[in-house]
Amino acid sequence: MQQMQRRGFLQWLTGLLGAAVCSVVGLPGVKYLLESLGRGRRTARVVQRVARLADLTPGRPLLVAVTARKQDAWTEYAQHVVGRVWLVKSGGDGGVQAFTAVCPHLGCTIQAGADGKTFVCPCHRAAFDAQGRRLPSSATGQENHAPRDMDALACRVVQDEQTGEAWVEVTLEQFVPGLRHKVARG
Amino acid sequence: MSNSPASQPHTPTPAAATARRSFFRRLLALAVGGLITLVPGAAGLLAFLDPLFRRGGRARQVPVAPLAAIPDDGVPRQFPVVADRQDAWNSFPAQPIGAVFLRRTPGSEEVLALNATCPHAGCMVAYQPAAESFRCPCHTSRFKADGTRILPCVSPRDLDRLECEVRDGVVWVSYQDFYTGKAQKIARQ
Amino acid sequence: MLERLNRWLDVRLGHRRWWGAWRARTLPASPSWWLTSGSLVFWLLVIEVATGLLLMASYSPSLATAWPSVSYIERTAAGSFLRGVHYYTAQALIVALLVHLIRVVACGIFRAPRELIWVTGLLSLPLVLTWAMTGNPLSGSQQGLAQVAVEAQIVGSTPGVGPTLSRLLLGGEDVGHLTLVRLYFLHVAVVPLAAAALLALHISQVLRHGLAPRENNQQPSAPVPYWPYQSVRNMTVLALVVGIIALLAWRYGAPLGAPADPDLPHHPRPEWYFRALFELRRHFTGEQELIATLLIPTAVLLIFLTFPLWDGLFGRRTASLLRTSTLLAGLAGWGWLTGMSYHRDLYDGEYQASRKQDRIWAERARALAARGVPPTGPAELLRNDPQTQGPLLFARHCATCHPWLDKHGQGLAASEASAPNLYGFGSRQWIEGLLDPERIASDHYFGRTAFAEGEMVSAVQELAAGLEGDELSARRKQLRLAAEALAAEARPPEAPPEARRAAAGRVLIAGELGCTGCHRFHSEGELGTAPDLTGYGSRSWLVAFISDPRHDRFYGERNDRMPAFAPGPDDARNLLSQRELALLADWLISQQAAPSDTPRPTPAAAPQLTSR
Repeated sequence: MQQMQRRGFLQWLTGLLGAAVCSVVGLPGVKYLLESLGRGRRTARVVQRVARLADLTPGRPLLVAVTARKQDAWTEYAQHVVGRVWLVKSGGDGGVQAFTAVCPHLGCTIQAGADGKTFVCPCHRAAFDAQGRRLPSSATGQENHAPRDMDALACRVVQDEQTGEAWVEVTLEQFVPGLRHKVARG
Repeated sequence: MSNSPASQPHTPTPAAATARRSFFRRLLALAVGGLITLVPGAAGLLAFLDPLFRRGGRARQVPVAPLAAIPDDGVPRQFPVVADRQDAWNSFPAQPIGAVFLRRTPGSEEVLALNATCPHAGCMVAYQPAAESFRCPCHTSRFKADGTRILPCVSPRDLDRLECEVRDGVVWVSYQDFYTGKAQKIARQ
Repeated sequence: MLERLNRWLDVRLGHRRWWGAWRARTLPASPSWWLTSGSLVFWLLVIEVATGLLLMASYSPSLATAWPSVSYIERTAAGSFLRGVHYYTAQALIVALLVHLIRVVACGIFRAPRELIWVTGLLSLPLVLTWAMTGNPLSGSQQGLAQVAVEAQIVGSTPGVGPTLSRLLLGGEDVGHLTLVRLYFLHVAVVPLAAAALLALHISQVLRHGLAPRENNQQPSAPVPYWPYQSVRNMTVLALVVGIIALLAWRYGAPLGAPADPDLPHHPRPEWYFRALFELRRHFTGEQELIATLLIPTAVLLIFLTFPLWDGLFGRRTASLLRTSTLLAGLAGWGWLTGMSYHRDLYDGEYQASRKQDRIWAERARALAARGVPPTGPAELLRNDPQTQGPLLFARHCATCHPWLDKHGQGLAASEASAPNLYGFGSRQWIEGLLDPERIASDHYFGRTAFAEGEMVSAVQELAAGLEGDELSARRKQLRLAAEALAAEARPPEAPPEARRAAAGRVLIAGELGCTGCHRFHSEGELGTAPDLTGYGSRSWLVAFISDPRHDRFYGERNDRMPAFAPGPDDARNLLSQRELALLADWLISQQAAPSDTPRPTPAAAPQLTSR
């Protein structure tokens, strides 16, 4: 009887010690694997001057790159392209609109259409007009997969302090693709 | 299974035919199996052996320092050898690929160039002005300022001299590494 | 419920039988602490595999990414701890394996039919050493890659196939990207597979033949079951060892030296388990080197492998004695060589200084890496760091004449001191000393230069000449204000009191003190008679001065002995390249801020100049 009790105790003790040893690697292991969740978040917003106003032609959208410092795990890229922006200058008032080149459907980079004025996504032929509005299927003869219009970005014209030139300043943001409404990614 | 003569009772010489067929089958299996193993095996081996087929390692002409940086006081001075470096898939411009000691004896225009790598185990030697000699930090080999060994010395040979010339006030060294641990100076390639 | 699931699984897996067989094992004698070594080796291996797999989730081999990814792992507590466990377990494994081998020899577990137990066990020692050897350099540190270079050189010295093998190991001519990828390939794939095969054979042999009965205790009356009586001992030892490992990993972590850079001076040393071979190499040179690197280790292994044959050769009793003495002699020799090597380093001041310097650089590189590593690789971190390169450049180019020593005499000594001590150059304290009539002619300033009896020295001394009491202290106050004004040229003061004093000083420089009689200071004075004081000690002033002190803006024809380090635009013809000049200037001005509490470079930063 006493022998059985001792045996049971020893079994229990062995298991306990084994569990302790496992936890030494197991717990930090889980923490270590989950830690990547908190690191390397996307650059939330980048405000940048992307083009001189004089470089824009009405009716000719211009694709420009937004660069920022980017940290990819351990590597630091001083000048990394974090997004591309379509700039559209309207003919009448000379105002400038900016759209992120990320397609609201699945996130491919939107290209200029064959006429050089409208936009088309190379992945599933989602088409947009010169103001970034979704074209109805009837206009292109193809189903338009885009769930919403192109995502407009905040944009303003600023004066350079030194040269006095007018520059287009864009606030780059990321939005969740595939949704009907524009939701900022955070 | 082909070894059971009972399954083929009508063959004239059952045992011999079966043995022959079995032999051919084995041969075929061996050939096919061998081929299937060898082709990817050989390809894999070739890929692994790739570094053997890439030969570089010739002496490289590198400008190391202006002559003005080497006073004729007989004291060797260390200079990094900076050249472009190709490393597998990367090309790095202007990287230190090694180091040399340059020395001029009093009144001489001639520059002595020594590879800073110890010929014993490949560590970098350092010059100690107080002792007027080089010392290797690994196994404490010692060399005189002109690179000859101070015996007893674990290094099998003197510090490796490199060809060098002065062109237009700049010292150019023909930089090269040598196999360590050998009594003779054999260029690495 | 659980029982039903267990039964369902058992019908499919048959695990109960397997588990039952494991539990039914009996011990040859009573349970013993001595018997725990085998299980310890096994579980340490399991921990190595588990932590290794976890580290693989973040590690990236290649010269440009290895060190950054390891420093990235080190930046989180859990990652640093896991890497520490991986590191210390490897060392514990080597020790446990040695203990296990000693136990096996002591118990005679190599006699027929157990020869394979002995052979597989013994071969696992070189295999585990190879495992460690391929793992250490993966961090891409200076130390690790220096070790690979030496190992490749040892491999390369093997007659015939040597150069080919070394080339395959390095993946080319010398250490590069492919070296790390290949070591990684060996470390996580080839060696583990070989180890698994060896271990499987070893354990299956142990299960098949059982633990050897003691010679004097052939059949125990009642066999004691292995589980749980031996198991609890195994687990206790394991828990103790893992506890120590965890403590070390948590307290110290695994070391991570500075990233490899052939440009930084370094004293390579192997890990402790290879110190004996390192020491052995001192005694065999040239063509004899193979004796130390290849013949002796192989011979020792072969002698141990033949242990099972000795009974037949010498008779059981003699063989037993011989084996024990061989083992002891081997251990003693190994220990003696190891001890000798450490003893030698302990009294090698240069080596100790180099280790201290290595630690400083390692810390600096890790701090810089936290801000991100350039895509071209981690060597850039220290190569473009003024704090690292400044002292090295100073030692190489300036410290022949200029000392850089604090008031305790620590720093960089000059080999032939003949110019001002530049410690804290451009700071208020330094300039105050320069403008002190009693100190300007001291060795700290112009004492050993051609200006010792020059106009500057006499001008400053005359300012105080014949003054006493209040007049003298008023003059001293004026000079302090001037120093404040000059220091402000490099570092515009932030707080109003200093700014006020600096403004007062500026008026004195151009006025009562008469500095602009010789020096130019902003709109006052002329160039060509003494160094320009506009922007004195600032980065651009320093760069221009070091580039060419003979320039009209500085000493002109009166320049003493200072060389022009970069008189022309062509780097190849200049003593200092533009990049080096910028690093040196950045370091010097960074020392102006608080010259007293900056980290001091150790003499190892300049081994060729300050060998004391």
